[in-house]
Amino acid sequence: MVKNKKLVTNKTILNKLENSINRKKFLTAMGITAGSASLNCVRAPIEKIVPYVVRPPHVQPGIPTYYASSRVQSEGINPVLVKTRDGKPIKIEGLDDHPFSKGAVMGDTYATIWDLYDADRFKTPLKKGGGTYTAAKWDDAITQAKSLLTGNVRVISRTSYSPSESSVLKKFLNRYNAKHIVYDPIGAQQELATGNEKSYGKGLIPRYAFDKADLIVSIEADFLGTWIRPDVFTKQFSSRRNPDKNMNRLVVAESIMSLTGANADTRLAIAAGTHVTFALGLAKELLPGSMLSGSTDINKVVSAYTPDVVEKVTGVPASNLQSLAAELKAAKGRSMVVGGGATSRDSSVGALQVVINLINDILDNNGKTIFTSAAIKETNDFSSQEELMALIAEMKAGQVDALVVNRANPVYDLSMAGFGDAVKKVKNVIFIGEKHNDTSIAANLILSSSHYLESWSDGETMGVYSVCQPVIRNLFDTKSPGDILLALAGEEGDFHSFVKQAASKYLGSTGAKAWDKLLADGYFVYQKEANQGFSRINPSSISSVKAPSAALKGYRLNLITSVGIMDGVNGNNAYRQEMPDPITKVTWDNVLMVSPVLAKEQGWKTGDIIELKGQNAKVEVPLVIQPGLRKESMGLAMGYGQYNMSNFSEHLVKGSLKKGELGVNAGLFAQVAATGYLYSGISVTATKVDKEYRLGEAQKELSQHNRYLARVADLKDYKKDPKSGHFEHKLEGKGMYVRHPHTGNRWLLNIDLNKCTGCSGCVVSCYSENNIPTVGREEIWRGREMSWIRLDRYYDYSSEKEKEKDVNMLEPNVHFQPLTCQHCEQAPCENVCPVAATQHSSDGLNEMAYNRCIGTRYCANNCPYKVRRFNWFENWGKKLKDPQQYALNPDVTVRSRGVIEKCSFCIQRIAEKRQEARVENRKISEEDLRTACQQGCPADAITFGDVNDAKTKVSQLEKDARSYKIIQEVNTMPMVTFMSKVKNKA
Amino acid sequence: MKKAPKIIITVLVVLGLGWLFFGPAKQIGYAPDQPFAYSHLTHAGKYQIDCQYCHSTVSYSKSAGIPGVNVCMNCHRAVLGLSGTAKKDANKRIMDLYSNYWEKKKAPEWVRIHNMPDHVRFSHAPHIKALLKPGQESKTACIRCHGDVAQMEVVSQVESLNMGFCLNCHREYEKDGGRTNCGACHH
Repeated sequence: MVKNKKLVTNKTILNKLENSINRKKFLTAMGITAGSASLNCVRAPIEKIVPYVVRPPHVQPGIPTYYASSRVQSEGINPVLVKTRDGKPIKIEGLDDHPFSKGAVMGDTYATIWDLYDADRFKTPLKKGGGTYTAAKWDDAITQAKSLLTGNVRVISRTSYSPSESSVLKKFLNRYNAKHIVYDPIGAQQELATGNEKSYGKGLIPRYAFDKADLIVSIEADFLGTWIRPDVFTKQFSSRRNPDKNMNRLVVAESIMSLTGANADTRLAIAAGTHVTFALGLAKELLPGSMLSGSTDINKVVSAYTPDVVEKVTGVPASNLQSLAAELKAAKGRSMVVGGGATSRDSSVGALQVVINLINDILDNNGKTIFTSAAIKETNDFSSQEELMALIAEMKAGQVDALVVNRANPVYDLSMAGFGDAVKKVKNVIFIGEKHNDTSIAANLILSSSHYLESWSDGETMGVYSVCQPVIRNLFDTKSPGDILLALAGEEGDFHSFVKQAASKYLGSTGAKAWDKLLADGYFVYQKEANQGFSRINPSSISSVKAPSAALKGYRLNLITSVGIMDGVNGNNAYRQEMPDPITKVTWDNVLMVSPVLAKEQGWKTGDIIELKGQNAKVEVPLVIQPGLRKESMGLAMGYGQYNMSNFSEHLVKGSLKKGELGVNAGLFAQVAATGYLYSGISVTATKVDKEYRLGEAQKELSQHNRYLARVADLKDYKKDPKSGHFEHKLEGKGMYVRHPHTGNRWLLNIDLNKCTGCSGCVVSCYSENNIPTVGREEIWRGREMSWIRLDRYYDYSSEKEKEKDVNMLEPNVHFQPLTCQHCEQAPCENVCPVAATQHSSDGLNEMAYNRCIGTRYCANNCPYKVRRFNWFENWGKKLKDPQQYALNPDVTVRSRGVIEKCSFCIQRIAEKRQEARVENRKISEEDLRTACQQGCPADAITFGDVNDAKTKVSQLEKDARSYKIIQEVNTMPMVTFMSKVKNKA
Repeated sequence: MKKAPKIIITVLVVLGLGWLFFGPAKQIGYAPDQPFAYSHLTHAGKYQIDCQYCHSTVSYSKSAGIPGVNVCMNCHRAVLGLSGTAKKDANKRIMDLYSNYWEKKKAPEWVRIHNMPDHVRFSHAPHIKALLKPGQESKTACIRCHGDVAQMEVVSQVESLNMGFCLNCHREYEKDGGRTNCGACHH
């Protein structure tokens, strides 16, 4: 090493400093700095107030206006109540008096508020010229579209629940003599409808009544998370999770751990790709003695699937299958068997559903728990695999002159079928949608469509006609999808009057009164629910069913759907991405779920990168060790890896998220067959790649290490001793602080863990209500997620003995525990704050004054529950890109960097209702007030109220034998009670 | 001899800093130019129009509400202009209202005077409930924070509206629901 004589050493710097600055000079400089700093803040910034010229009487500044509406999408209808302030929607809530939803809404719908204010939306119609898009005027765009629509015209879309949109589309198809192709990106609806068509000759999706079934058996159907109508099903299912009264029992046979499997009373882990084998085995056990036992068609198929064969193929012990069959027999007419979801997608469409139908028919469940009256979907409008393949072949041969893509992303969804290559051969592609995706970039013309909160539309399902009304004028130069199709069809008038006309048929009146009532209610019941079920199945339908009768060898991949992202169509939304997956707890990524036993054998650990190879696909994907899987089964969520998805509100999150960096496209692994797609049991190879990866895991711990945070008891034990499963902690000392007097209200939050399914609706609802910033994958990897309510998930055993028995972690108890600030009576955080920024209020809240906080983080360190979040993010309010700032709740301070924040029990809602009650000279009542998480819970697991009033529901629940508080041994006296989970094991 | 100016300078600097930190609130007397020369003195003072005629949401909303132009027109449809040279100025203002706002369907962009910081949540309704005694004029309640606006040609801020000002009153009205928890205003 060459020594540089000119090198400045520390000593020389110190000498220089000593010579140049003395104490006096230093103080002078300090004084000037302090003086000038204080001079800067003389006057607050100038704000303008602009009143209305004529204020509409129902718009009152400072008071929210609510509109009943519906989110009509291809997966069904979500009835919603939209909260608007000063004409801007700020929060989506459930519509409580709706006949079938009863206020149930899940995270996916709460997140739509950010779809509306997405800065990446199309601002105008776009024309392609020379490889780039330029803005166009609507008149020009429509004229151009009409001129492009000549010759062989094809329309591709997802299914629709809107009668008005369907009839407009019909007009469009007639005018251009076009052919319509409907596809199902996940496959759940198509499998169900087609299976029912085969069994009963009726291609409908029936109405399920989970609240009427005592025993529910699900084969791969994640009805609490992603299957058909998870919000409605969660409501129904949870209404029967009361251990004191008529509790139901759920048995799930599945390969990859899903939300439903996690909530099962008994979960049977089957090997990936063997669900039809399991269903046939179950049918064989049930068949003897039933009406259908004589059918040769059925016997021929099921006879091969003896319990021993099923054990060999699926891994489920023969005795378990037999006892399940016995249980089902005993619960004839009071049970329900469901099957389906992405995983059930088979090379022969509807294979699983046909067997499920057979089982339900044997068990006489049709018309008792499964109904055809007021069905979810009346007709099977999905195009068959042959039609879809014909379209792709036609496109490839250059025979399609114009393709209209109606709010869909077939290039991504049908990537395994080569739609991306085929679309390049189409002369003209017209894309109708809200923002860019993999398909839109192939379009010559983009017609920008409005968000559902800006459009008129309608929908029908379960005998209820729902209306979708605009709650804000178009933010950009867009038109509602209905209006676009009307204009293209060359029809006069607007879609509003079209919907009005359609509604009058359901309402049986064209009067303004009926229409106004529809808008106020948001729905109209046109068909009463009746106990009508399917007739008997057609026995020959079962003869085409094939299922593996020998164990599948090698690694087997199942394609699954995640609760947050689903099929990925709305993936460009930071709320959906940041919500941790309920099962893996991973954000901003899809991961390869691998069984613990395989990981141990291969030396893999969570976060390793695996190179996964299939028939036509090869990806590198991070892995997560997932309990509950058979050794060689693997799961990978769909909806990720969309290359041209918009840039994802990139400015919102730290760490680069470049195009195509969000997970991998699992759909590429699907195998295309002449009659369907195979999504399960796909043969793959997996090898570890030596790469580092920063996986955004919100929770790294699998077990709660016997700390009795989430408690569980068996129903039998609970009946004997309601305190079963509990553990009384001994207090360490008495505590030295004086108790607070609570003379007025005293707020308490109760969470029933027996009802909570872990769907994470509360998490997203809280984000939306409390202006919580999203931070992105990299920050979450650092442990800096900002969620005020986190959903802890644990895999545990009731005893050490059981744990030793299940070394492969096949059947752990899965716990979900939403954890917010506990608002401790003797809060450890309050005592350590040097500036008294966090204080106890007279109504029992642990309050946080952001403007006082100086960010020492002592409170976060001293909190035993770890629920305080430090805002590392610099000034989120300023990072929002126009128009995202409108999504902020004006009643909640937008926190800046360097401040601790945490759950406030929705103090803004309490304050609003308390003041309202005061103005009206009354006491604040239980009905007044609901926190965002409470309202965001489709399972009704959360109750909030005044515990000083003995009559409230919450004070009664607090005294329930199941109620407990966590980490009480340190004498924090939390104001959140949990009610222990009770499992209904047979 | 040399020490005297140094001491004087030091004392001045200390006093100056003291004034900056502990002097009267800078917002008092704030009376910015408004886009429209509306006179509270004429309307609320001379003609004794009740505050709530224009600020109509004050008793039940967070915000008192700045009246829309149509509220002006309720009267000014009839009150077109006044005769006599002394009223020339008033006529000009009314003409301004007609031609520049009402006919153009434009609302004036008022400059906010009483501006709370972003971390303070203030709602008018409970304050009016506590301060306005039944049967009394609205202004008896408003005066507490806004001063006697009826006597102002140009509105200016009278009270500091800092935390001490709020708390003094909240303590006084503790029995009537005045809260001194941090969360009463900060959330």
